Amino acid sequence: MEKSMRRARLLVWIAVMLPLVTIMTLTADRYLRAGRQDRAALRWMAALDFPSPAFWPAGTFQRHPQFLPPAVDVRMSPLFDWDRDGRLVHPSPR
Amino acid sequence: MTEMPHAMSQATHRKFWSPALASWAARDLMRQPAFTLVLFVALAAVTALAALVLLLQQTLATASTRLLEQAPHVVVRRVGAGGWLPLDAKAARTRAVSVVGVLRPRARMWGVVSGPQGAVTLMAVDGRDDINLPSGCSLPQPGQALAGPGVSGDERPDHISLNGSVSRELTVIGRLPRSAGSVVHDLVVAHAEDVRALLGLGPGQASDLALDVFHPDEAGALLPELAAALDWPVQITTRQEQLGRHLAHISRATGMACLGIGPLLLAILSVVVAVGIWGRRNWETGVLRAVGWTGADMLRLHLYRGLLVGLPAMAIGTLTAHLLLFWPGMTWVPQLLFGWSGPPPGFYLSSTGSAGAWLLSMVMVGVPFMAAVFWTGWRAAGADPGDILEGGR
Repeated sequence: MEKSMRRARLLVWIAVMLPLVTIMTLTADRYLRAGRQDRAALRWMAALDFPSPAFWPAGTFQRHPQFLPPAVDVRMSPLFDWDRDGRLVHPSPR
Repeated sequence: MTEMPHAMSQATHRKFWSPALASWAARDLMRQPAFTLVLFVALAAVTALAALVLLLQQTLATASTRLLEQAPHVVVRRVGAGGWLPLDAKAARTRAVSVVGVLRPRARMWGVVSGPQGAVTLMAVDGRDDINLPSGCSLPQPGQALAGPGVSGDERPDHISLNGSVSRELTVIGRLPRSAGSVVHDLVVAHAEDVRALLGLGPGQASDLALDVFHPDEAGALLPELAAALDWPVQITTRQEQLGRHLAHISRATGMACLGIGPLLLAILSVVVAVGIWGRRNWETGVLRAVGWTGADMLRLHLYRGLLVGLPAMAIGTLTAHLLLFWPGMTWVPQLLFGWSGPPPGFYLSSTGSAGAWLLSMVMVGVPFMAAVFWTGWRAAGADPGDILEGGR
């Protein structure tokens, strides 16, 4: 009985402390890393005058919406140089 | 067993928090470890999924906004009936700078060519003014290149072959940093001479013209003058327009992902309900009421049990979502959402503005859960012990 109550009290202590420790960890992590993690990417973006971030693979219309002919809405169309995977067949200026 | 609850009810009926009753609730949970564990894991998973749904779109939008804040204010492209055309760099710069409010026009040479493992973005750095590469990278000379972490040679690691208008093999003199993967992952930076040949640009030609304006918020007002100053039909894109397109694509990708999470949430909730029905113990409630527990004690016991499982589970769920999204070099988002078939870029996302999503996810999961716990406790508090014990026979 005593042993199980001791374990129960330990469980209560863990249930109270775990959220507090987690919140403190998350807050400390935000304080230390927010705005710092992406500094290298920001520096390269600025240095290269880069057209768009590399979220999508090169050659996709999401990465380079500027490749779309101006009269066409942002959607894939077999008539305008897009292959089935959404990549441009001739992606450079001609 | 009969004395302890009665004594507790005498000593604790004025305060909500009672260490003795909390320990009793914890021991009650320990008597059903499987049920407690399933509930804990399910709550943590639901909280993590809710936090991911809330954080994903916001974090990627923040990352895009922060990155595109470094992009030129306005980009001018020459267009024709067939689409995008090269422009005369010197003439474009001269015309653009004649427009009042335009600053630092610079002709860019860039495009997409085939690399060893798929399409790569090719960029020239030599033909532009005041270029200064970070990380102490030296500017490539003709025949040399800087390659992103996702660009690798097919046979020799320090050489890459690129195929555009012509084929060229370039010597890799440096690697672009992995920590900038969300920008340079599939990028090759090369000398203007090589870029011009690969993209099929003539002498003095550039891909487009990037420029800044005196008042970025009013860039739209300059566009008619800028278009009139240039000799050819042009397509002019402001940074805001580009950001808008980018955010629309991100919303579409994350929206589809969030739709996929719905069935998973339903499955988790079904497991919890099934386990809850399986583990229902009406008879014990009747016994406790019969030995002197008040309705308030029963209600508090249920609330304690809910809090002892719910609070740590929601904390662990939030922490899991945070680590999944903001772990340095995280790759699952580009792999799943952005369609990378090769090695995806490592994202180093900023957690700026994530606190609201943490709180909201905990509220979204915690409030319905505690409402359900309260409802169960309320029914137990109002039930007649005789009826319960009769029904349990």
